[in-house]
Amino acid sequence: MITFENVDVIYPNGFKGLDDVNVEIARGEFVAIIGLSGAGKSTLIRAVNGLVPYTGGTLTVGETVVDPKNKSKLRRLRSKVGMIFQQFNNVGRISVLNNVLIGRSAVTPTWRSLIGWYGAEDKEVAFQSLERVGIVDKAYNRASALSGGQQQRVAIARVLAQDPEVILADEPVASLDPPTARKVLGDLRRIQQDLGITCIVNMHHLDLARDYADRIIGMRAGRVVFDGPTEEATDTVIEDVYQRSLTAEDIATADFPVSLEDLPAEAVAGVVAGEPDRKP
Amino acid sequence: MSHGYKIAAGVVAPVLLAALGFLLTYAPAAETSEVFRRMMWGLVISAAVVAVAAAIYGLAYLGTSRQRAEAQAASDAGQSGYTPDRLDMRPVKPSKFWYNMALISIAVLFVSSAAGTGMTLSALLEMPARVWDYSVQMVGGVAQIPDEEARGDWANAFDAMLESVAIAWIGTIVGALFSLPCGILAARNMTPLAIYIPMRFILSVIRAVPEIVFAVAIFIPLLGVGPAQMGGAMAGAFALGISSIGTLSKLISEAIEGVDPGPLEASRASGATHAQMIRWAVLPQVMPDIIAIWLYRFEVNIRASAILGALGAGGIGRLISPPNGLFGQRPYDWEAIGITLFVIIAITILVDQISGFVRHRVIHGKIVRQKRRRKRKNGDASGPEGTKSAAIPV
Amino acid sequence: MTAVAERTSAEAGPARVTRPEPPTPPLVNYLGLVVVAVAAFAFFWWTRDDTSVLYLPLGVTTLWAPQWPLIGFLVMLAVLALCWFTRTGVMAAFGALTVVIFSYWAGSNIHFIDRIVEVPGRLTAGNTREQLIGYFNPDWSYLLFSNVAGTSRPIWGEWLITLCMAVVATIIGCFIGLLLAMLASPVSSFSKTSSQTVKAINSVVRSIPDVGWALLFAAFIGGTAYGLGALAAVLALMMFNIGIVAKLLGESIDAVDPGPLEAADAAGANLLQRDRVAVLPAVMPSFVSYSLYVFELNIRASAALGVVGVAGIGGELSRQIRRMSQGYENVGAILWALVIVVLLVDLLSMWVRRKLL
Repeated sequence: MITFENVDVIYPNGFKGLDDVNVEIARGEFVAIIGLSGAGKSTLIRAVNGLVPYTGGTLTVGETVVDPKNKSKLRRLRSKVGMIFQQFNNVGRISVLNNVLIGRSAVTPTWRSLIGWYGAEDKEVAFQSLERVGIVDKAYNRASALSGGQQQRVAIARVLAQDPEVILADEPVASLDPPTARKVLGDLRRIQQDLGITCIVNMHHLDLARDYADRIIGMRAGRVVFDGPTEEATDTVIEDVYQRSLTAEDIATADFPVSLEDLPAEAVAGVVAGEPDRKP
Repeated sequence: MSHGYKIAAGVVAPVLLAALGFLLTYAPAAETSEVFRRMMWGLVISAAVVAVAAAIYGLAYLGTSRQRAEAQAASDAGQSGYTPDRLDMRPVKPSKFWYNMALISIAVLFVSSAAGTGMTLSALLEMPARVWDYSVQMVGGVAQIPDEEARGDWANAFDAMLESVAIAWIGTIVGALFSLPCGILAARNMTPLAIYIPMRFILSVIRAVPEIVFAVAIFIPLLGVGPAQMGGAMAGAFALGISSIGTLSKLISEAIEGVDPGPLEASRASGATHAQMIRWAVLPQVMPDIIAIWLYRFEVNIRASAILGALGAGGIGRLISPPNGLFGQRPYDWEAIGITLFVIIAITILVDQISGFVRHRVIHGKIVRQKRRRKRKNGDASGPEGTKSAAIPV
Repeated sequence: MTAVAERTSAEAGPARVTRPEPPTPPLVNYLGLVVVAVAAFAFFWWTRDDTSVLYLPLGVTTLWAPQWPLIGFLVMLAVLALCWFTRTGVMAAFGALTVVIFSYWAGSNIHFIDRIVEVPGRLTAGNTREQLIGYFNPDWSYLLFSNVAGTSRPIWGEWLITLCMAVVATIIGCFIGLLLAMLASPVSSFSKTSSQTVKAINSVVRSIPDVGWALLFAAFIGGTAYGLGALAAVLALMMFNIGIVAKLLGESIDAVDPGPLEAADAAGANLLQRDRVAVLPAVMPSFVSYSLYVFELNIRASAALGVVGVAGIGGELSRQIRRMSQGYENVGAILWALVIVVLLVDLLSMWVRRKLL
């Protein structure tokens, strides 16, 4: 379904986002990507729909080769590849229904969306997507008036309205509290299984990844360092991905903006010593 | 209100409005004023159009009543493909009646105002040819190698424009001198209510008075009219200065109200007097913003000085406006006009660029830019910041 | 503060770390600033048109210098000295020096001192007194019941036409301004080139003042500058509005949250769809508030534009100003009424803003 063949991403400033990535993802799989911040998880996901243009190798989605140069082909591809973001990225000032209808953009003629006159079918699709995520009663509320979990559901509904074959999720639950995060991920998992959609999700939370994913890909410095079914992702394997022991302190510091190697030893010791109180 | 009633209201209200407008065309006011009569006719016609459109929509709505009843019955019987449970009840679409009414009234207002101005739109048809003809002459005036006459035009334009800049600068300085104390007195977190309320009132009165009123009614009699030697420029500068005080003080007081309250508390806790607190806790925080506000007002004042010049208060406005200016002479000297416009555009843009640069520098400082440059040089600043800034495709 | 500091340092005893010196700006740069001040002094000496001179008897010889340039120079040096002793950075000192030089230049350009010293004399002189008295005793009956001289048009009709022009120009101008703002911001525009081009065009449009536009359009539509229709005024106000709205709204669009844009992109929306669904809703409140702001500006400007001969109350204002001593009460009435109308429009737009936002 999605094939990475020796894919490289080099950013304009020379930073290597992906380094020779070879991954094959089958139809209907739910794949979690784990790794430290800056390891290339987001880059991997954004390369699939061309939000980040890849610079080497071949990236295929279904039968089409992703071509970042060809704008109209890219748009056609994006209409089949939905994306969910950490910050939900809903338009706050318009209604939930209109937010979901953004997902119908690719199949709506431009003039119709310019005057905001969507067809009855599009509206039906939007309502069904909202029903699937269970917030149809909020359809005419402003998106900004909803809670975090509800907003992320709106985002999922927007993606479902695209009738996607692939859903990309860039840390979808990182801004949510733990119970909500589980609910939203559970919804995503259920919908993905119902509709047979391929799903690639970036995650910081190991336990969530283990609970929901079929398969886990570990990344470090732009390379894939682990790729296997969830059962194989034992603590030792994950420690290898993170390159450090998998104690609670280290999971917490994975969110740290600077990598710990850059800091002097006593500073690291101080941070780690201060950490255990915050452990859940 | 159900849908049918709204449509009925949408028909009846414009009909009443049109009738009212029609009656008013016979009012004595319309006898005397052409403008009023035209406006009323515009109102009649546009309201009638709205009424007809609403009526057509209403007829179509009546035509589908049987289908709607059937659909309603079907959905009540639960025959749609999807059986709703308690959570999945679709909400009713909220009414946009008032929103649509507001849009329609803006359209009606537009039509009747356009009728009221009595614009002869046929003049627009001849405009493109004239614009082309005159533009060619203007560009020719700017591009030619200046002869004796053109050199005089350039010199006049530069003198007048520099005079405008001088007027705007003095106006800004006057405004700046008064606006800082006024701004502090009009900031809620600096001043007791007894001073705050009258200060706010005075400032909003100053803001409400257009600067031409200050110029014509006060400063031209006091300081003189005409070219700079006669005092016109001074009158313009002071009119701009006084009317700057209103806006500047408002913006400054808003900036002061937005300061971080922490340092204020700290200085108050260490026993500072009010003046000391303002000097050491407030001003350091807001001074960059205030300087930026002043400079912005300088840009605005340059443009505003032109219209005062037309009233006799010096600067570029005096050079272009009739009866003695470039546009007052027949036939038009398009080459001179072209040169003058070129000078106006060039100097205004130049001043904008300089002041924009200074504003940016004052607010963001040199350090920020150096840091950013250093980061760019190092390529990857490790961590999420580096990736995020690079994630925007270039 | 200093007392406290001294005490603690005395208590600190022998283990004393050398204290850092307060940073001093480099002297060379300050000397450079003094050179700038001297150059400015020379320039002002060269271009002065006031011949008064200051003498400085030294016994052996008598030095002299032109009065005002010398005073200006001393002020510059004083500012520099102040900056030096407060250890201000060189750029800030340069800024202060520039403000002084520029103010001197501007002041001498508009004959600041000459005019200021004249004011007391003028206040008691006949004409100014008469004018001021006229302006503050407006003739209200003129405003309500008179006709424009030589016609049968009532004065209140001129107010109506001014309002009409402002409404029409605001609606058209804001709409075009919205489109241009969309094109001017790199966030919503087709490409970097198109946004740069539109920005350049817009800064040209903005740099021509509204009087300039009115006179240009008066010529373009083939009228003479006097007694022309309202068309020139509407077109001029329109250009004026386009410039303001495109600039301010373009800046709002630049600051739009990029998240929803990315979401729309990822959903396969094209550029126009993206602008419509993600950009427009986000900037709608600022658009409404800028439109109201521009409407207020238009009322003020259309009153003033009449001065250059377009229709509306401004035309009547300039006619009355030209009548000199016969028109003072009438001018006063128009100006007072202008203040009242502007206040009313202000209140109206405040009400609309509160209702909508």
